[in-house]
Amino acid sequence: MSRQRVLVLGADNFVGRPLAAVLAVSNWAELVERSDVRADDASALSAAIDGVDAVANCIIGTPAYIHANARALFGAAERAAKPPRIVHFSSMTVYGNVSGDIDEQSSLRSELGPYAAAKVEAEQIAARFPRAVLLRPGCEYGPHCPQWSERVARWLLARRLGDLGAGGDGYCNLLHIDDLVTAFIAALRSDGIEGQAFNLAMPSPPTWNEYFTLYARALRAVPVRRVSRRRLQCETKLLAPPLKVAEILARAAGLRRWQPPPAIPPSLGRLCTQEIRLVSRKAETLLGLQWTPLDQGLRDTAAWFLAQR
Amino acid sequence: MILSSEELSDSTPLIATVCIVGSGAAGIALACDLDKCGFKVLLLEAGGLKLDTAASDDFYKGTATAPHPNPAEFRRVMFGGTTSIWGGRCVPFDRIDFERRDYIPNSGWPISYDDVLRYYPRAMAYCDAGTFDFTVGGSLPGKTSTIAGFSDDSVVMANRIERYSLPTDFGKRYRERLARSENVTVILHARCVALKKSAGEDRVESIEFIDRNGQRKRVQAQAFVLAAGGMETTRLLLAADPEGRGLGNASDHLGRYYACHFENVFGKLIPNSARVAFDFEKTADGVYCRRKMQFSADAQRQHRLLNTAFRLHFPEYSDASHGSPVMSAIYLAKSTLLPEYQMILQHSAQLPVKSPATAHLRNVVLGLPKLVVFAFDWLFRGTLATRKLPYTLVPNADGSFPLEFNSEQTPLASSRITLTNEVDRHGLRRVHAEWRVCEEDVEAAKRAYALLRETLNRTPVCRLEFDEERLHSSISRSVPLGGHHIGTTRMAATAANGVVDQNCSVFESPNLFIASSSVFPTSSHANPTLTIVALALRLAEHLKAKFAA
Repeated sequence: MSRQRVLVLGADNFVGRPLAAVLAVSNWAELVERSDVRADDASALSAAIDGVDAVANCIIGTPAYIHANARALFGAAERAAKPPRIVHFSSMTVYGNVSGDIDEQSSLRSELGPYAAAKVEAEQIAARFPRAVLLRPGCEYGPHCPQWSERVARWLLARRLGDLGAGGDGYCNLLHIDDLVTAFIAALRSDGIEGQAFNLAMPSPPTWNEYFTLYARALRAVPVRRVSRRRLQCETKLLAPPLKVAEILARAAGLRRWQPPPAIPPSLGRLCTQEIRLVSRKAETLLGLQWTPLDQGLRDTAAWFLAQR
Repeated sequence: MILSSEELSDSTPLIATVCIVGSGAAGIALACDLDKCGFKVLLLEAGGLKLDTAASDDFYKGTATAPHPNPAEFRRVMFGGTTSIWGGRCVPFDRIDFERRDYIPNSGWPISYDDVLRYYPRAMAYCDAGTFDFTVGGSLPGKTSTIAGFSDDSVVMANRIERYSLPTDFGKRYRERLARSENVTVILHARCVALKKSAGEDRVESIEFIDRNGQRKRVQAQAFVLAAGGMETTRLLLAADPEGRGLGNASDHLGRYYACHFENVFGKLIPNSARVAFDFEKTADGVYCRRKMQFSADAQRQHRLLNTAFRLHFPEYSDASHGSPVMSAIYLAKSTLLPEYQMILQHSAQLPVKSPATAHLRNVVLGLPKLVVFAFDWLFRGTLATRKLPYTLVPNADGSFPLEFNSEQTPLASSRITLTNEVDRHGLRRVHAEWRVCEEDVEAAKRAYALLRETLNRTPVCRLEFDEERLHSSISRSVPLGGHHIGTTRMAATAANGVVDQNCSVFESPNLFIASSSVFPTSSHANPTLTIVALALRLAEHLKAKFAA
């Protein structure tokens, strides 16, 4: 049987890279490598997807880039002689500032800012394409995950984050990067799932306090610090802006050896109190997903971070 | 949502699926767990967001037989209740506490340890006390044994810890969550004064409360939960029956088996140059903890012991020979302390050695640099810190450690809460507390001391010394640990033996539940708050299963 030709967009990021690595050694897929293609260039994408059976769209970036990528990719796919299946990397931010148990039938909301709005718009574009499969992950963690593992580790080790008290009672809808890759694989291969969206997060998620405490212990950043509301506000409102500026300047200057401490954004304060729980039963049933146990996932993540530090 | 009773319209009937009375640890944990459950919940609190001292004094003042303090002490009329002043110690019950022990009459729970165990981790989270781990190995990795050179053996477990909450004021901690709730409504300044049954029925049809303006209002609900604290809950049940017997008292158990923990400081542990872990430590998850010693379950059964905990204590404040400027300064300032804290200055029931004020002043003057260091510590690790250092620990100048014990009690039918003929401003009869330590418990404590001495003195690392001749008289003078109001609506398998069933539902009124330490058939040595919260979460699960659509 001939192998599926799969194009991975965003193969250089923390989602696409491990996915591409798995595809490269699989016996059912032929990885199509096109690192030269701009993911927001419609004509370049038209050429790239020609002859491809499926696309894993792992693009991350600014809101404008996300929106442009969706328009270009799905437009190219609709015009293709043989439209490929597209597995699109979305986000739980499309659900907005809701609380409670949220399944895929819940409405999409753009209220969480430009990034969330771009994700919603991208989904709306994708929804018009009959061969789209949407993945809505929670918070990706694991080795090489910048947002929920690497920067959190730096905050915990610097004792800038820890037990947030009431500020951390929200649910942390964690998803191990290996499980996200497995979800992509299943979404590329499974029959009868086109046109559907899938929530991706571990069942019975920990609270943010529990996540920070467990992760801190795995990192040996102990005793875990209790961070008061006032202190967190100081971080997110006073320190975050200058730290963000420092980060931008360091990047512009090409500094690699020195990085300023990562800013703790105000959005983190909101997220850590949000009592939203993603219901992922559909992914378990139709994609056959099983979840990496949290203690195992954190052990591996902490080991990776400490080794590369 | 949170509102005050005077905001309620007179014409709007108050109807809910579940009505909770009392907003202490139990009431608030229950309400939070019922958030988003799909049915309407009302939580009535007699006080407001701030302490009402006059109301606390009036509502709770009663009488008691010595040495029990006045029932008003260690209780607060406000949102959050006594969690606004508790010390924060979080300790779970042990497996043996749930067993029927033939050497302890009236022991045994109708539920098992495992029935409660599954709720303890979340109860710990509610109390901000960290992970459910009470071992030195698990919580203090890399740290040494409590007494260097002494490992846990088959008799004495010396490497156990007690964890401490912030201490969490449940009212402050969970206020926003309850304010945001769409199905839970908190009504402040709503003092429950009566439980009303329909004629000829065993169900509670409504409860009556008095609002801020002094008007009486009613709440109707499918189920009611009394979570007003051990004493107040018992009081409401006793007062509920116009014939005087009390609601839930068909078998004359209501109000009886009243237990606190009894405690004392006696004897001293002398390390033979072994290092001893005496001070507060922080667990890996950032929680303050202290070491304690306990007997194994087998040792308790074999020697017929009550479940007792021993802690290394500090010297007596009033005896200036401790040489500590900190302790002397605190002693000299004792008149400024809350009554509850003044009590700890005395070594429980010991006849105090009171040094003259000049001796204490000498300590303060000579130790001024240490006092300054302590003041900074107290400010930054105590007053200003979010997670506060629980209390001051100053070691004895001679290197010995007075030994503190606190123990469960045998449930006694004669220790009881009753109502007097005096009434408070709302016409509710006041409470009288009769509490005592029985001779069997004194003998059990003596056996505990003897066994501890025998076990520790077999080792070369330390010895336990105490005056054998004074042991009996000292333990007989033990005082009740304040604020632990246990056993007066005890749980039992049948109505013949208790007030509530395994689901904490009053036998005589199946829609009336109790969330309080008053349902504990036995008291363990453990502070009750953690288990109160665990049982409240268990009750929440029961109510959700019963009423969720």
